[in-house]
Amino acid sequence: MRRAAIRALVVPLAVCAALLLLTAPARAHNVLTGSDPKDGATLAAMPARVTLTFDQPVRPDFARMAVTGPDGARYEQGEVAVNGTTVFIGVRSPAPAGAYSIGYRIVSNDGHPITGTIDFTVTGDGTVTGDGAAATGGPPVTASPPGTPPPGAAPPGAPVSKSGGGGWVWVLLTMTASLLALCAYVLVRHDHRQRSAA
Amino acid sequence: MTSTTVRRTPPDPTPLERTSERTSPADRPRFPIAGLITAGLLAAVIATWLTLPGRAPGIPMPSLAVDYGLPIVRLVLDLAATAALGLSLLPKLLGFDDPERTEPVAARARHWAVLASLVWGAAALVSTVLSAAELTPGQMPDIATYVARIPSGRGLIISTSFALLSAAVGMLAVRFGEKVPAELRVLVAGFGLLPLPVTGHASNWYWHDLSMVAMELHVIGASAWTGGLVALAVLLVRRRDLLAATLPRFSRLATYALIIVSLSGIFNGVVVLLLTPGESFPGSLLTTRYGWLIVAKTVLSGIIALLGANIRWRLMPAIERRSRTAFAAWAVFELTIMGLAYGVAVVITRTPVI
Repeated sequence: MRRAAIRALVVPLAVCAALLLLTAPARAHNVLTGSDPKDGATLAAMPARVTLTFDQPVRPDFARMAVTGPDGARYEQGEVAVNGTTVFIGVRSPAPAGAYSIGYRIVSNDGHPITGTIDFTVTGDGTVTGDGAAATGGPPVTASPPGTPPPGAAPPGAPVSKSGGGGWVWVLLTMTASLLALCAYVLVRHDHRQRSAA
Repeated sequence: MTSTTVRRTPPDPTPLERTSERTSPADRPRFPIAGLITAGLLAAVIATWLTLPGRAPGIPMPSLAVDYGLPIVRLVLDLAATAALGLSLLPKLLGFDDPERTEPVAARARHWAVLASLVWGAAALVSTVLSAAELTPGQMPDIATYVARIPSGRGLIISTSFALLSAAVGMLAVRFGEKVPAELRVLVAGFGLLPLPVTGHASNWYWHDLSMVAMELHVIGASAWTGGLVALAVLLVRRRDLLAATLPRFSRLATYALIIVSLSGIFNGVVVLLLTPGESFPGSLLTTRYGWLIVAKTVLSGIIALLGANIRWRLMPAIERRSRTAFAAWAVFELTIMGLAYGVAVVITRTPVI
């Protein structure tokens, strides 16, 4: 009876300790809270850059944005940049009037991709307001391939994340998979032997 | 071959023992497993289809194989881990008073526990690859980055290691029988479940740790409950004597699990909805897809609770008298609803709130 009582005390304590150990880091799911231009907005002229604002800081890796014009062509220019909770990208200069849509896909802090579209219309047939090039340089951290700290080396339009030195992971995965297969084989053989012995 | 024939000659089991040992197809009910998996797949696919994000123009999106493959593999992972935990728990539920009668059942539980752990490990590996592929559509999945940068990647790898460890301990148990303590097996399988909630949503709330602990309790409670019922429904359904001894113990466990799982589940769902900017709470239950899933799961939990109460109060007295009951059918029914809840749960962990 005493043993049971001790066990009843020790097990929950051990579980709680394990839970606290495992749950230290904070993860969260980003939610789009605003954008410039706003969804459904009608603008006189194309802005120099388009910005999305999220409720929490955005991971710079894996962030992608694209601006698609009325002719189906792409109008974004430069690379996606992240500054705290905002993500932005520059827009190419001669932008005709018509309906544009910003497509985005960022990876939330908890590892889930967030995808969405912002639609807006440009009425004035003209040039980008402001200096489009200013959007690409600047203080914010440019999204860079993970593992390579200095940004700027990647050519514009390059995928935001490139494969790092991941060869060893595949080796590890293959080894683990074969280990699993070996275990299964041994188990099934053991089972057969036992059954034929019975 | 020679060794088996040599071994075959000396033992002369009594015919009675042989018939009870033999596992004829009728003696190994497949319905519980089939119900659980089919319902889970159905719920996972429908919920994924309902909540699939729209294509964003100009952005490469993962293929449909990833969109649907990932929830399905995650479902397999969750169910296999659940089965591994439940089957490891079974010896504790059976008790050790009467090893002669419980040993055949316990041996089969050990065997299936190892297989479940292996499926768990394999599903976790595939899940890692698919999750990495989901983050970099149109490219080779970059697993190293996924594991190094994203906590859910680490969670999956830790879970894989525990699945392997669980399989290893399970193999020892297959070899040496109940000398390998059941507590150890339960502990290893339970620890393997802990990293899984990290791969789901978490809030950025001040009381973040509290909601994480609630999520851990949710997963462990649900796994012990469902896994225990799987073990009973598969291995004990035709052993009325053992069922009479085991079901009351399981029933107590299930009651605690019901309380923990429903409280922590509602708590977490409401916290996530409350903390989502741009949606007001009671309304967001109906206006967001995340809210629909929470409502669906609450309804399913209610049905499961009713079915559990039915087994506990209507069937258990008869089972304890060892009379013939419809336990098998009710257990399959309850497991099917549990499968639906698992399917919805897998999609809940992936769906953006808005």
